[in-house]
Amino acid sequence: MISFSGILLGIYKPLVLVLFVYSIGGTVISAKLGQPLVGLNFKQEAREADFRYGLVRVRENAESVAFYQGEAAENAGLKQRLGKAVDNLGNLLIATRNVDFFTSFYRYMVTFLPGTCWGFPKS
Amino acid sequence: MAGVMALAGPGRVGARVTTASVPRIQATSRDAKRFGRVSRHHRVASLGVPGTGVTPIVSHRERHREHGRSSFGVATGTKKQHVCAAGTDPKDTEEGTDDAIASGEGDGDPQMSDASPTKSTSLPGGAEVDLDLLFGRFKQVALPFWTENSDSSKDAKWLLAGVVALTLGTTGASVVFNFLGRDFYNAIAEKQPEEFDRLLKTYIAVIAAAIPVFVMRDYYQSVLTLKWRAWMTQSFVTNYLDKVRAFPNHHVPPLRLRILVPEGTITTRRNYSLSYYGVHYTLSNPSYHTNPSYTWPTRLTLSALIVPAKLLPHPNRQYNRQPRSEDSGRRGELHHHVFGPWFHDSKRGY
Repeated sequence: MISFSGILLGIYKPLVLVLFVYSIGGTVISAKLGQPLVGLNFKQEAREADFRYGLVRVRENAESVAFYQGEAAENAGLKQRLGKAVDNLGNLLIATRNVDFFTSFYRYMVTFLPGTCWGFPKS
Repeated sequence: MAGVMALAGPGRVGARVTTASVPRIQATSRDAKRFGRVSRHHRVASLGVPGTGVTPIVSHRERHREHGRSSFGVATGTKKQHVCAAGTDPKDTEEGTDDAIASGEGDGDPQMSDASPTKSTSLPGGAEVDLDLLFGRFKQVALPFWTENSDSSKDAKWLLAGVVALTLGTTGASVVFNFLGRDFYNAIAEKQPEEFDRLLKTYIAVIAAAIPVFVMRDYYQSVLTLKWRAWMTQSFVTNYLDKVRAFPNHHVPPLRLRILVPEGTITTRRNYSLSYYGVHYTLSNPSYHTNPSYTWPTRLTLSALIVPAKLLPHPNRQYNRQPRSEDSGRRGELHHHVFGPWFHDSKRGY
């Protein structure tokens, strides 16, 4: 990157400045927007682990569950844990979507940004 | 499937052929040890390939063998294995067809080696692929969510329609971007300020319009995936618990809920073992959140085609078996119950 910047600096200085601002700005903004994702991902791991634990528990105690006819209760418990995992994943998807709005915009911006820098002073 | 059924039927049992030159797809004895307990009750049959004229080689021992050893289906499985001893009931073979699909040769059975000299030189373990079987399983896994008559199914169809429409939209947007980029840079190269201004504004407008299409396509696709996975997981759990209920109190419930703790995998029926992977492969896959290009069609296809091919020998397992006094091979059952099917004691041979 440094060597390329050196080359670009020799060609057109404002472009280098714009590209640095672009990359640093993009990093900062997406890190800021993506903040909630950290917590949500962590929560997701925990919720999935809860659900898996529930599954293991039911399997290991399958005999007792059958003996005491606790299938409905176990099903309700598992459903609740699955529901929590699914809800959290839903939130995660919404958060991802919001970050995506920015990142996609930023990604497409780079296709005309250099041309704009190049074109404006001369037009 | 039908072809396999026919080949596995009793009509072919007598057709003991020694066509060493005919290519066959079959499990080796190593697979049988790895994936299925081989006892003297174990069914021995090689896999014929439907429609290719490849005949399964069945030892003469097979003629005296029980044919109705249970498939994994709950409704018929537990009864059948006691009922038939002589293997002459054609209905039973219908029931037991799946067992014939991936089975290995008997442990320490010299007659089997005589019957099929090429046996040990065939495909390596887990490489057997029966496309009919795979496709059948794929349908069993993929269809119920869409065909059931419920609100969630209707929602899913609308979502799918939306995703398809948005995907078409993204294709259109990509084409527009392509042309815009060309014109834009042409305008710069040809030094046309008016054209440049116009195209720059158009570019910004098109981006504003197209970004939501791209983003919402990804979002609704993920939502659809999530709904599908949640539905499948819930139905497996319910299905499993229904089966637990179906067994009398004094019986150990059959172990159909298999759990791989590291990946959190679960299955309730052998027929669904693949669906388990379709669902849970993604549920706990870390790359799911970080790699948006790894989308559900890819995952579903991968898990449908690759994973089951490796797991196909499962049908050898005999979870359904009822206790039998003469069945010495059953001592492994407790081991199974405690450690699950992935933990094998190689010394005991199951």
